[in-house]
Amino acid sequence: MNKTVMIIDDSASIRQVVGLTLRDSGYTVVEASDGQDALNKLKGDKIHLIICDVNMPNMDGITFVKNIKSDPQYGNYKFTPIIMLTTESEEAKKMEGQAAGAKAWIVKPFLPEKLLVAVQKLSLP
Amino acid sequence: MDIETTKTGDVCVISLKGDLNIYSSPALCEELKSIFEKCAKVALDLAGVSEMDTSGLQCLLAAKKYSFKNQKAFKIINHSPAIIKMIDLLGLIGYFGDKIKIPADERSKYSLKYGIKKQRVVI
Amino acid sequence: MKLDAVKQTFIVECSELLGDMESALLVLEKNPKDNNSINAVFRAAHTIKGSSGMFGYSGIVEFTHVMENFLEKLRQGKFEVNSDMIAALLGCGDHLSKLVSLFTNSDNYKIDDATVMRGNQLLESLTKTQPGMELKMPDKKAVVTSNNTQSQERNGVSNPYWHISLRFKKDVLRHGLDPASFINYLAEKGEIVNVATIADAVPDLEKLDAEECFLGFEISFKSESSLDEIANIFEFIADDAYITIIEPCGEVEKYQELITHLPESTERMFEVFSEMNVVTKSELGELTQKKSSPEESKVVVAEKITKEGSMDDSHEEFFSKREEQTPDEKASRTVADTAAKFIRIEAQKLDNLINLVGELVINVAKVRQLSEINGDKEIIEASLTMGRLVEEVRDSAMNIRMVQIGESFKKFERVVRDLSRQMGKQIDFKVIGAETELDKTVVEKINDPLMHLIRNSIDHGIGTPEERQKRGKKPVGTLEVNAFHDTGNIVIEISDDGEGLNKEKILKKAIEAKLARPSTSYTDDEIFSFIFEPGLSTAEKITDVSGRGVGMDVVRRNIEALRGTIDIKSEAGVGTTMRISLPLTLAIIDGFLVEIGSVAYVIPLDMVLECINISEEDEISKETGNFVNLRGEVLPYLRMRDFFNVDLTNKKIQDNIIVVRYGVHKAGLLVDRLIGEYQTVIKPLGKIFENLHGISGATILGDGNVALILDIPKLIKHAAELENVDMKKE
Repeated sequence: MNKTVMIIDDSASIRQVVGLTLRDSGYTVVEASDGQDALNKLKGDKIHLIICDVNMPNMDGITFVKNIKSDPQYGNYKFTPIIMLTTESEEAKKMEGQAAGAKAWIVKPFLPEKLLVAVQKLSLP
Repeated sequence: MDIETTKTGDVCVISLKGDLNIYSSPALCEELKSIFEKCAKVALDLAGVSEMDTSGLQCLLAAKKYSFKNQKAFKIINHSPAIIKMIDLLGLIGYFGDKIKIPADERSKYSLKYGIKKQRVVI
Repeated sequence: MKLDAVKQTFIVECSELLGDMESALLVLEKNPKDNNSINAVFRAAHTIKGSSGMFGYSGIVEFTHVMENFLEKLRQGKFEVNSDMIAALLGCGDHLSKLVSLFTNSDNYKIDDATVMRGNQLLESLTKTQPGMELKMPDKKAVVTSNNTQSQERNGVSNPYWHISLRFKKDVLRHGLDPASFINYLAEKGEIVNVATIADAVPDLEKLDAEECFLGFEISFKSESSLDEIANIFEFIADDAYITIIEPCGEVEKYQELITHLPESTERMFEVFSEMNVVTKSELGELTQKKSSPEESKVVVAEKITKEGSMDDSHEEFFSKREEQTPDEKASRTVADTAAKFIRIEAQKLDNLINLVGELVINVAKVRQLSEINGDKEIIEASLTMGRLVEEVRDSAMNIRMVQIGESFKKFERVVRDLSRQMGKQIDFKVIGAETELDKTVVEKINDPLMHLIRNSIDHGIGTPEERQKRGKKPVGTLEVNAFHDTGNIVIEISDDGEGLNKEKILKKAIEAKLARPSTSYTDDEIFSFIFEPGLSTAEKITDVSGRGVGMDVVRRNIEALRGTIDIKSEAGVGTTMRISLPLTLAIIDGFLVEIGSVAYVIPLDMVLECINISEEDEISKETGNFVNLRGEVLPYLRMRDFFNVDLTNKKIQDNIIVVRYGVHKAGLLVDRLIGEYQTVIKPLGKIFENLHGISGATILGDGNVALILDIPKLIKHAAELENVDMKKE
């Protein structure tokens, strides 16, 4: 059974690289360009894992995380594994995000393989 | 996840359909608890389970422990591949001790670790 | 110190296993389909591999690993036993015992390249016995590098895998982190050899919050990855978990530390680790020992414990609670379980016990004596009962030291096999009475003499098939070792159906060596006894097996040191039987009590030939010299009063001669009074008395007095010297 991963990033190129890598490995990939866009796309379809950038227009990653963790309308996604993408300088954001319940963080820039590994670690058999 | 319980003879069969995960396992726990109170022999049919996570597994373990402790008959039947994969990975085949049917050509997918024999039932 | 003790156990264990392996191989040689023997050989290699790993001794691990692989295939019936294979496996066994002995003899253990080479050659020859069979040889580099790390890992367990222990904070699932997914990923990075899901903390169904995680996992993981790489796998979950990673063959302390920190009971974790083969039972024993010593329980934390966050949930409560508990009680139970079948104890402790029991026997005798004087019937009865019980106690104490002699016979089988091959002889080796028991010390000391006699039989006794056929015998010779009990002694007979001893040749040699006089006629027994004289060998050619003329006298000396005797029966053309008779134990002797001056002395009864009363007329010899005429035989004798410088002015003249014998030598001892036979417990003399002339030990008499045990061999030698002096004077 294919697993579905949602990638939320305002950079199309990142979305594409991530999408390509994961699709090659057999995942179904859903793309969103920011937090709000992502929330709009969470319509009850099964999402196994979310990859989310921190700095994004409209709704940043941290707010997105807080939303799905606490807003009952996204209750079906409350416990979805999340990988946050960040840059070195965002230590404070990282703390905030971890407090909100996002535990897996990857520092940009990263090789696609590294992301793939992270996804595998968080995927059930 | 859909839960459906039927009674055939003196055995209550709880059938699950869908994902047995952190979202749905509280419901399964509730159901198991109420069925155990009514029924001495409980079978859990997992044929329709497409995915199970640790939360779901924990629910099965709790049920198994409950059955030991209260001398109820409890068995899991019709394991779906997702179930086998999980209990195989975590070395729990021996603990549950249920008969598992795996088609010959799929056997290589599993390591079929028996795991450890002794699980402690804390009473 | 502790390590030394464990090492000792390891060495004993290895030599037992190697012995078993050898016997099993010899059985296999005769009966190649014997599955029990195949299993025994496999088990030996397997166990040695496991336990040597405990000491971080990779040389043995690598070597046995190849053997084990080979044997595993043999066990599965992938190929059949053949004689080359037996030979190669025997060679491997020898090499192993060499490796073990290298290990034994030095603290700073190193195997030289030559030994490694030799090992590899052996393994090659083993694999060559099965064409098409490919075994991974130990990489020479690996052997060398692991040797370098060996010194740091000496206290490591044998478990060759990584051990990963995982416990979680309750919220881990809510954070979208599923432990199972990490373990699933782990399985892709190596092999999960075994995993135990610890569900002890899962609450009752009615209380279970399904969003919380109560599971723990203990994982045996096989991987070439580094510690960092493995730790990195758990990177994301580290904040929500308690992760302990212990490297392959990690120190026992690390496991100890781990067990202390885990929420489950010590007992429970022992059970889990033992079943997973993470730590073996013997290591568990060590673990429990360690745990009981408080200063050691604070040793180094396990390699990597990632722990963070506040102490706010159930596991953390456990974690902190555990530290206050003393695990000793539970731990000791585990030890008792593992040691239920056999107890290895220090020989010294047993000796102490037997000593004490011996004294008890003496004191009970004294009580009985006193009660008889006292005359109170009830006291007499009670002391008799006590005496009987104490004797039973003594017998069971003695019995603890008894071992089956068959253990040491096993070695002979191999010797017979190798020697007979080497010399082109065919020999059927039989052991009878292998279950006969005797004192362990005696077993150890009798080994070499027996070995020598067996070698002799093969070398000189039994001929080649051609020689035998010429004499009308069946080509296969028989060599038999027979052990049995005979009135308080154990008798070991070594018989062959060979040529028998050549009397003429022995006599001729004895005369050449000036041991015999050409004019005298000797009985068969006397002639045979010449072969026990130093410097006499009748072998026509000197082989490296025997015939160096240094053997038989040593054999006799060893046997007599055990207060035993050796007799020879031999018939030309029919065969030879060497009969060794030994006391069952060294701790108790039957003595003959005599008085010299006013002091009691004990003479070992089996050395006493006769007691004679010399009349006044015979006393002339007292003036003339140090020998008497005993029925026409010149018997040197010692005046024991003179020997011990006893003042005799107020005593009547001594008139008792005790004739004692040691080997073929006889002498008389002139003593004051004969008291009688007396069973006694030998007490060794302390160090300051070790050079005491004429005394070999001491014992305590029923009245509490000390009696010294006479050192007969030395006294005889002394008497003979005096005789020689006298003869020269003449």
